[in-house]
Amino acid sequence: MLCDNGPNMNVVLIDLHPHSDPVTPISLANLAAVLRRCGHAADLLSLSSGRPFSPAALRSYLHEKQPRLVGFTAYQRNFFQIRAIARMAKEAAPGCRILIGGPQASFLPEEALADLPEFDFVGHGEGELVIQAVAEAIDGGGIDDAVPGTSTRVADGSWLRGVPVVPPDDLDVYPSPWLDGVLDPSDWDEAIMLTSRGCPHHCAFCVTPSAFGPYIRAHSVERVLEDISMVARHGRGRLWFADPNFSYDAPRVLSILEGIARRDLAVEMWIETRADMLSTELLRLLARAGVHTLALGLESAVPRVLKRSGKAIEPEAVRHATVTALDAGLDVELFSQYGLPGEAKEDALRTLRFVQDCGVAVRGNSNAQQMQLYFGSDIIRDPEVHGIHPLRDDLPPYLALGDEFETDWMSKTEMDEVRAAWNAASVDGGKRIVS
Amino acid sequence: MTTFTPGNHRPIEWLFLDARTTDRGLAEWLAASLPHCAWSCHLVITGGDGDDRLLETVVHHLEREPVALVHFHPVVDGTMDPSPRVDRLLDAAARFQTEAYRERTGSRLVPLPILEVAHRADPRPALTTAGELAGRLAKPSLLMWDEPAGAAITTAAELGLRLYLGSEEQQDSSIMDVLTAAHVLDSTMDGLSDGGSILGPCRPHLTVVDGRVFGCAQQWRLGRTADDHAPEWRPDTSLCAGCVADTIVCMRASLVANQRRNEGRELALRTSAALVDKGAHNAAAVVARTAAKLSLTEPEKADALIQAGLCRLAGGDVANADRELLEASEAGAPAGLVAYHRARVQVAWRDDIEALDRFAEALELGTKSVSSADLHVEMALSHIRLEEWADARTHLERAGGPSAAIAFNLGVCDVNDARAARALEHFDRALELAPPDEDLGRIRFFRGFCLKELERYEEAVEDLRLSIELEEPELAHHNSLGFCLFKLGRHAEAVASFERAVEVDPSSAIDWANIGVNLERLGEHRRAAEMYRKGLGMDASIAFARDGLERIERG
Repeated sequence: MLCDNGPNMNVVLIDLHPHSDPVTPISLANLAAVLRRCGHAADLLSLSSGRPFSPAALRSYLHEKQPRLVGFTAYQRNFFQIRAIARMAKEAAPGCRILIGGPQASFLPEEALADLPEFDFVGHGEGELVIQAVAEAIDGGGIDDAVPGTSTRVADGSWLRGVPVVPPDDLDVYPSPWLDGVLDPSDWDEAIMLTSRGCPHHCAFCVTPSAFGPYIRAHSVERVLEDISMVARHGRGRLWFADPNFSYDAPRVLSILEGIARRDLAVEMWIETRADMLSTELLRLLARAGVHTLALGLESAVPRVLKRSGKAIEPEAVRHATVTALDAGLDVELFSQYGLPGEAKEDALRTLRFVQDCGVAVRGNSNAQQMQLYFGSDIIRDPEVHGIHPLRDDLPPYLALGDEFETDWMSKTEMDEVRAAWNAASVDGGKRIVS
Repeated sequence: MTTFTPGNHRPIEWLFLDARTTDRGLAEWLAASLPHCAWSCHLVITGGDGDDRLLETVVHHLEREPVALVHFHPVVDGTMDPSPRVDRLLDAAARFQTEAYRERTGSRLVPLPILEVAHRADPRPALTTAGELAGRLAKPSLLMWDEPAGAAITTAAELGLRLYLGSEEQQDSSIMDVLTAAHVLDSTMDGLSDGGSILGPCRPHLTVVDGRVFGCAQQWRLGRTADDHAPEWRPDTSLCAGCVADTIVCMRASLVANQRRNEGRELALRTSAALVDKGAHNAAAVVARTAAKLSLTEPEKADALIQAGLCRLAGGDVANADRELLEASEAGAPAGLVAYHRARVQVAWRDDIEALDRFAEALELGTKSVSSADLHVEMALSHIRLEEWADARTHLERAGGPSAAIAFNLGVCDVNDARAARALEHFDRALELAPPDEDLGRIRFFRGFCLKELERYEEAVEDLRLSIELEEPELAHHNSLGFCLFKLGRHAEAVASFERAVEVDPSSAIDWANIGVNLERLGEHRRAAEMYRKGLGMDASIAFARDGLERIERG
């Protein structure tokens, strides 16, 4: 699937979190690993408020590097900044092309493209396949046709949509950024691992099934263990699994845990999964293997609200899993949000009481946030159908609604009151880590 | 003036500028420095009301840079409605906010005016102004020199305003003191939520006062300019722990006014623990007391006071430790727990008789934090220090359960009751129970001592040698080993052992004499006589030395 040593091209991939601390740029690192296997020189920049950069230093770096391709992971929160850096890159390295990928790009409306002269490619498919296709196209000279998996700006300035790329079921065909040396475990206090992609559930507020597919694809146990070994032996051994449903396949999880024990790896792990994918025995095994924190999606403590959002889980199942996990010695984080379809203010406050009653401290990821509406979710395709009323009509077409809405059940003022109640209950000032 | 250079160092994120001096130097320095600061940076401007040169400099910077975010925090007179300076700031910011989508710019100016309310002034006009500003794309805050009344706190909370307060703990504090302390507190809070080092350096910042650049707020307070350093963020991390501790103490009222007591309390407790790890016990206790003052409930307050007491105890400030614990008791701390810790205070005071009374009280009252087994062990240790072996044994037996510590101390009691064989069994049991590494040397020594008493000298030598490797040897280690070697006829090795004994304690007369007797057995009569004389010179009653000396002198 991957090309052998090809031509050498400087590529810079930029992960920018303007308002938060740095996290392992695992997705861009996956792309950098592909590019390196293809013989390109791919640099990975991780910029964030915790690893800030000065404009002068960044300009100087781009001028020195003269990349032919600069790629960004685009989020709603960094869109203005990546547009500005794209312009800076084109000034510093004339002729360089700009590719955006990530959640904001994947479902970007067609009408937004005309407003985005800084970009040359907008990726819609699996990043590893898209970046390889784009690199080949740039290397081929003038771009006069759409590149697979992208919207492409062609020579006359118009945008063309390329044919979709078909992602492989076997993720092991992709190289590992940890094993290939793209990421150095010692650079990260906590290493993010992504061992599976996709989700078979259909929560109306979530973009995961649209972005990664409605079924789960995974790396093999052996590959996961190789990655974990690398991070445990050369880093601090703190792992943060970004898989949305880490325990979806109990035998696979058991094999991973057994492998960790067999290899005598000292690791501390944070995992996220669903309450209905856990058993008491599995929780005990997770604790024994070094899982310190279990994050569960609660969203709301009101069954009616969950049902309306398409989240097929019972709050009492979350409570049971939480209490069992706490008994097993794990810390538990409960993800929740307010402003969901069908949710009144009292419902939202009930969720706060539920979290506290479960014995979970309101801190970190257990701080609730207002539902965020991004491109790719069911709700944003037609908010009014879900009782969601936008408060802004002046947003440019490349920005999604985010939290600029009221609902049939809660006004903006009431949502502010719910936020204030959560903040008052928080022990860390409401600093949620994962959005 | 210093400018920043691009490179691998972390760029400056916060600038605290005292703009009272109105010469052009500060604006020029800022113009040269901003491109090298973090793309998202904060400028806090004190003084200079009416001088807009710094604002103009920032606007020029934003016009040039495609990606830059400047948070502009000028301190302005809060009694004006609103200050003309704020109006100009909002006008400047509007270009970079409302027109941003059309301009497609990544640059923004975020106006964050700090409205100062003078000492004894009515805060209501400033609150009204703040409310108006909040509706105009600004995020104002208030700087107050008096602790605000409840109504002002409520209004500020409703408006989402941050309150900066002059500190009662820090008399004569300046605006710069208050704002830089807030920066240190925020950075430390970040460290807490990130799981990073609480006592590490805070977010990179410089303080510029009177045209002089200081490497951080604490260096400014100490009058150490950055001119001695390279023009980059190189904080003197040796100052950080003290700075963080002082900051938490002086920001207490601010935390209360901003309704951040829970966060503040947690931060204070975690900082206190981090200070203990650094050996800064007194500072740790002061910070724990601040946690007590921030506590919302009596049990929380009691917990914090207990921590303060334990910090004092760990630092050897025994009197104050006891005082803190009594205060914790008054705040409703569990009586059994207080009695236990007060007993430990008595142990530190070397008053084991009083300690035993307190341990007994703790045992009677019960405490969830300390098991009765541990309490019995503590009581046994007090009895051991009082050389009350039978009482000690009784408590160790009551402690029950197999543990290396219990077995070891039972052995110690038996050794002192001259029951070497039974003691040896206890020490063997202690070794079987996987004792902590730091206890191994002690156990081996006592085991060796028992073997010596049982005249099993070969085995005793093995254990005593091991104990010397495992722990800092005392006189008794070398003396016992030397004795065993003497009994085994290994006189040269015995001499070496006793020589090490007198290195440890040159006044040990018996060990000088012991060297003498072994040298005599080796036929080194001249040196042996010398050693006998040395020992007898310190203690004329050592009979074998007198006899040995006579033998040698007789020829």
